[in-house]
Amino acid sequence: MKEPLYGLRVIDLGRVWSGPLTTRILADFGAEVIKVESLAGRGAFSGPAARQNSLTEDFPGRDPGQHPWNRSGMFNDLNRNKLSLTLDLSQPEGVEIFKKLVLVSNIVVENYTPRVMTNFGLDYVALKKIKPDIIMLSMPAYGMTGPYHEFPGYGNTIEPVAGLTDLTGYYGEQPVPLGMIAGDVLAALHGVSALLTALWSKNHSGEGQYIDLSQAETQTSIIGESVIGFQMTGREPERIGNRHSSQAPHGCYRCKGEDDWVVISIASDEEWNRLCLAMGETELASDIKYSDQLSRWQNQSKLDEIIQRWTMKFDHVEVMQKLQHQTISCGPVFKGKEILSDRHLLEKRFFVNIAQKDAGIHRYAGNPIKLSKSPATFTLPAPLLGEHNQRVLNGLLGLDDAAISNLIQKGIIGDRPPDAAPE
Amino acid sequence: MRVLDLSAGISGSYASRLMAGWGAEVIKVEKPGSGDSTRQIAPFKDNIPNLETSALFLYLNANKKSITLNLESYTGINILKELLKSTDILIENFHPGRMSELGLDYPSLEVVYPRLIMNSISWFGQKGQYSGYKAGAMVAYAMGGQMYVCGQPDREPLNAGAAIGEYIGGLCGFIGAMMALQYREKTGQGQHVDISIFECLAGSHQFTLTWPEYSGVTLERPGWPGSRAPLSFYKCADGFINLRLQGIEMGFLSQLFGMPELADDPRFNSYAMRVKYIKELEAIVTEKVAVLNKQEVFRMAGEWRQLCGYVATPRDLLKDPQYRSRDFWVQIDHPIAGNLHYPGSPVKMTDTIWESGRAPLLAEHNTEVYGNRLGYSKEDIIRLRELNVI
Repeated sequence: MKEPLYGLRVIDLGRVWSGPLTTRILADFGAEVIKVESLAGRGAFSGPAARQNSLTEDFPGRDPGQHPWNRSGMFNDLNRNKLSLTLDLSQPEGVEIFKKLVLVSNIVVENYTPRVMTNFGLDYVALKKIKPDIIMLSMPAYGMTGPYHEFPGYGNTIEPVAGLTDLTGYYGEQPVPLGMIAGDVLAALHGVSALLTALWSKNHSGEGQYIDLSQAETQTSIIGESVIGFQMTGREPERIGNRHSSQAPHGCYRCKGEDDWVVISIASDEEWNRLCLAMGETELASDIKYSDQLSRWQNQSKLDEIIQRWTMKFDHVEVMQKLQHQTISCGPVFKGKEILSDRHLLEKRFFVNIAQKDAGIHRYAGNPIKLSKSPATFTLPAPLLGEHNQRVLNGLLGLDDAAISNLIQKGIIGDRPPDAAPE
Repeated sequence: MRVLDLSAGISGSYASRLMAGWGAEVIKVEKPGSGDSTRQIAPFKDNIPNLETSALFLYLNANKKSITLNLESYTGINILKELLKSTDILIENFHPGRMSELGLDYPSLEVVYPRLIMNSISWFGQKGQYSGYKAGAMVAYAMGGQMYVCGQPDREPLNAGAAIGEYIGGLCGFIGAMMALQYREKTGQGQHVDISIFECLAGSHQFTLTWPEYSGVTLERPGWPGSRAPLSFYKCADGFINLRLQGIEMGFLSQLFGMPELADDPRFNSYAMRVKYIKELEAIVTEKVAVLNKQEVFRMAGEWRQLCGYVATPRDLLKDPQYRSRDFWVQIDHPIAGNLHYPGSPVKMTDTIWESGRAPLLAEHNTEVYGNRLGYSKEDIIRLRELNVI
């Protein structure tokens, strides 16, 4: 089989974003990922709470429909290529089935707060007894140990604690949270990296292992230089907004369309000359006040005004084309819908169309990790809740029909949340 | 595992930093004289520019070896090809097309080194209309769609203060290489990994793509979930915290502020009521937290299991009790930069050891690699140096 991870079975207990993204990357490259979900588990984005907060943008046509738990865009995006097994782990029979599944699996991924797996009796020590070479990844907010380990956290409360927020803000002003959470992605990518390292190690040693991932620490890992720099200089970094420590002009400029913006950065005298010519400002190019990089850095507010007067005549993609034609670093501030129709991404077939029974056909971002011989594949849509109960329980674990009906009756498995209105 | 890293800057170096930390031998190939461009980037020790003391360089290149090699010369290319014989993974982040000019494109290399894994990380990827475009961290953040939702609604979009795209690109490069290794185990074949930072960012979203696709709605600044139940920032005596007051447990605020009456205040006794009286609640919180210490608020919130973050500065991070209790910071001594605390392993693994060596001096391993590994004599090495090949 061509897939790098073909033959690998992964149990995914991940919730919301970081955990599901971790296992999605494994699934894209051929692992069989079984999502083990509680019947109410999809509630975070499709349950009553989400609807009460009117988060309906995430449903097709803003309509929760008959089965909102199968219609969340976020869920469907993060869980393609996976199977769904529902299982109530608060009941002993649910735990027993989980253990049987562990026996035939290679990797377990979870992102609960640390006490949860222990309460289920399913922490690493317990799983290792069942399957000695199991690889387990736990990815709570602050790690499995330490004074904060029980603290709850989501991307946007962890980012400040990890040091990302302090670095972000308009020039000289107070900190601003990132609009798009980066923390979950950083946790997931570090999680996959560690899992593949553990897998490589197991190829040679035969041993599994436990990975304790603190989402905060994986975020701090991308700002190591700030902490080292502080020790070197005794100075904390300043927030510089859209400016750059040495390049100028370096900013975000308004364009013709509504809330349309473009960013431009100039790194050399030659680029400055080319920018002036592209703007038709021949006098500016020879103006001694801006002729070198230091004077441009010192006078960048003035230059920003001049540049914006020019950018406002065009739409943001036009500015990019004009300036990139002159080999100047420049790009539009894309809105999501513009990414969906971006010609470069379309040409590269970046998006994949996936049809799912309850949500219909939609475009989703593909996998950005391009391998020439063993590319990511997209074989399954995000599963309906409990869609693969029969396949996993009977096909894989050998439970008979009577045993499966019994589990349904006890509410240990099912295909709809307990609070769903009857059809 | 042997890695040859031709990259400069953040993305490729972070991929190979993970490899070096987890035990691969990483040889960094640098330009004779000036080295990796990252060596020029501030901050430096004592604020004095020095090729050996850039914080960014020291961080990204811990536990690697450094050789210098002039890839503009045939001799340099020939030496590189000798090194490739014993290389598992080749990393590069040149402008697309540059490797072809050097005769080092994957199709050429594959013929001679069929097991080689080549990892190319670039802003827009090796193919496509933007492939030749120029970019930097802010351009990638803008085109990736993250910047549009960052900042205030009535102002211009805001760049992130961290190099998010380049680090995510580096992580995707690492993952791609490890996937390729798994494939090589099964088939004996190497392959080419092509990472576009733009695509990494464009795919690292929630809501910005699914909302327009599912319901035609555009997510606006200041991003999700800013518009509904925001995690708002409040100023403490020594910095900032964030709290989501709509969902808050009033017992926590009552204890934090020493205001027993707050626990049962009918204006704030449910989610809906707190939404209705949010201005009043914000006024109380703003006044009361102003005299408190940010970490005190954060710790008590955590004990009450309330969502809260405190804005940690680099100074706070070094002292933070959680990071210290988990030994996140490791001390690394460097002959010129001195003894400093660096982030250690990004995760804790029970079986795989993380190696915390220091970053190499420019050309520190020329003799080891060219002499011991490739068998050049001392005289040859001197000649190569005179010829500006190394």
